[in-house]
Amino acid sequence: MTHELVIETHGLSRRYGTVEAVCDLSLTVERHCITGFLGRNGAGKSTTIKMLLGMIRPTAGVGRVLGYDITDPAQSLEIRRRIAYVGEDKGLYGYMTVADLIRFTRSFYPDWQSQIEARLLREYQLPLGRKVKALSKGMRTKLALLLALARRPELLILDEPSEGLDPVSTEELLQTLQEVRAAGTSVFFSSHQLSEVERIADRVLMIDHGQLVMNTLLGDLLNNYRNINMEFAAQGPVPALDLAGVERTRIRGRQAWVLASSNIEGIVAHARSLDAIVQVTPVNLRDVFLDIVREAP
Amino acid sequence: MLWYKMWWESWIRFAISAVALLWMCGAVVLLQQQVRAHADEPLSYAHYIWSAVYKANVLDMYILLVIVLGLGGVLQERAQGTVGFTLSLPVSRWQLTYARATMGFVQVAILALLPALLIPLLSPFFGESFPFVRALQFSVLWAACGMVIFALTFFFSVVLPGAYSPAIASVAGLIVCSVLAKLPPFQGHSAFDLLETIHGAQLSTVHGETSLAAFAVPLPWLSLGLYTLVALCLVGAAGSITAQRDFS
Repeated sequence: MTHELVIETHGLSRRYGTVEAVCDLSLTVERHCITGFLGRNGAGKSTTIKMLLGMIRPTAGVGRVLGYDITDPAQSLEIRRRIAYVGEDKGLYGYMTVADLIRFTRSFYPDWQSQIEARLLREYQLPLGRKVKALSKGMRTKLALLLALARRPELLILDEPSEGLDPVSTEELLQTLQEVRAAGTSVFFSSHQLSEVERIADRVLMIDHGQLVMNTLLGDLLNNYRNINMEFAAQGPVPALDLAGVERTRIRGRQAWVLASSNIEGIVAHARSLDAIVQVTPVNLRDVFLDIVREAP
Repeated sequence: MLWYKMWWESWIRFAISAVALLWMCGAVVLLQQQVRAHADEPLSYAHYIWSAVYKANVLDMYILLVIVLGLGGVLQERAQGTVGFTLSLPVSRWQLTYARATMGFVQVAILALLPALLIPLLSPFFGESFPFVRALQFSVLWAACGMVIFALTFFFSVVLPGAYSPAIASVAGLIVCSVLAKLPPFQGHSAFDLLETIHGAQLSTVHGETSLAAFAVPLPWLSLGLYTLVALCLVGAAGSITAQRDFS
């Protein structure tokens, strides 16, 4: 395991009866990056995260977080000592007050940073004496972030962190994640909010039907990927477009849509040689996501 | 600090249980004259206390309260949405199990001790007496048998989802155990009949006041030891299941 990777899985799988929630998943997450983990609802994002945290055992494959084996109970404990996790529902003990919960969580982490706790309490304006169950979802998210960040984790894992948040809270959350990364913590977060991922992620992992379908730097994706629309004049079936750089192809009638990651000139030249009218447009994450996860018509 | 969590999660149930038990015991002592006056045959105070507290009403309530104390745990946390937070803490599932079980055992023992503290203290105000050592004997019975009942509910709380199904399963389990204990292979072995043992019928309290100043017959230590072992095994099984379980 190289020190540059905080998460590494090989052939990770999880089956529920006949349903393969995660299938042969091999991925890597680099240190000091914000990595967005994209996928539709039910694509396998949460299952993957829960396997990394030791909540669910994989049916096959191996996984390592910060170099520790996720299936070994003792090593899983070490993982949880060194990372922080914020779940989708931000489920915290509602019967405790904010102060109680902070005191409780602090007791598990010898390296708890009181100055971070004090700063975030000030910034988030969390009411110390209020019961957690009386907090709004936005405030609960802030409290969950405080509990996660004050222990200064090497890796912060978040499952759908903006779920249920209003736009202001979402914005504050995204800013916090960027600050966290700047302070040296690696961030791995799942989402199906493409705009959020596009705003802050350095790298994008895309999962569909439990399988990894994309692993790329966001900058590379936006710079290199292109949509190529082709309209063929000639009657008859559209010729095969099995060329280097073609990621996805959709064909309807005499029209073809190609998502290309490289070799744009080569693909365009090939199409023109087939008498096609060609239009090349830049892509955004949404286009790529829809192209990749949408079933071909 | 796991103790803190376990205490927080159970203190309301524990406090209500303690108040209910104290109230019931107090009522039994308070109403002793009226009840004994209307009894079919003369009833000694010691026999009255045994009948009302250690054999029937208060005991039944104690069993139900212990079952309520046994509810909860990591599986139930899933319904509350806090399981992700709990399981992401750097503690093993065994530690979670032991902390909750230990807190439960302590609470069960304290509940068992309450009648022994209240009844001897209250009786002189009504011109009666009930020795503390005798009451303490019953408390030991309640504590040991209560541990098994608690552990049974604790086990079912790990196995069965839902808020009430572990309680129903525990009541059913106790009834089944009681019926089985009366079948020929187990008859004559009082250790197998937990509900019989917890009554303390073998203690000489029922025979009048002659031996009230001292310990009555020795406690069934073998049975109590067996119950403690069964309780620990149930907690161990619950811990093992929790450690293996997936929390999706």
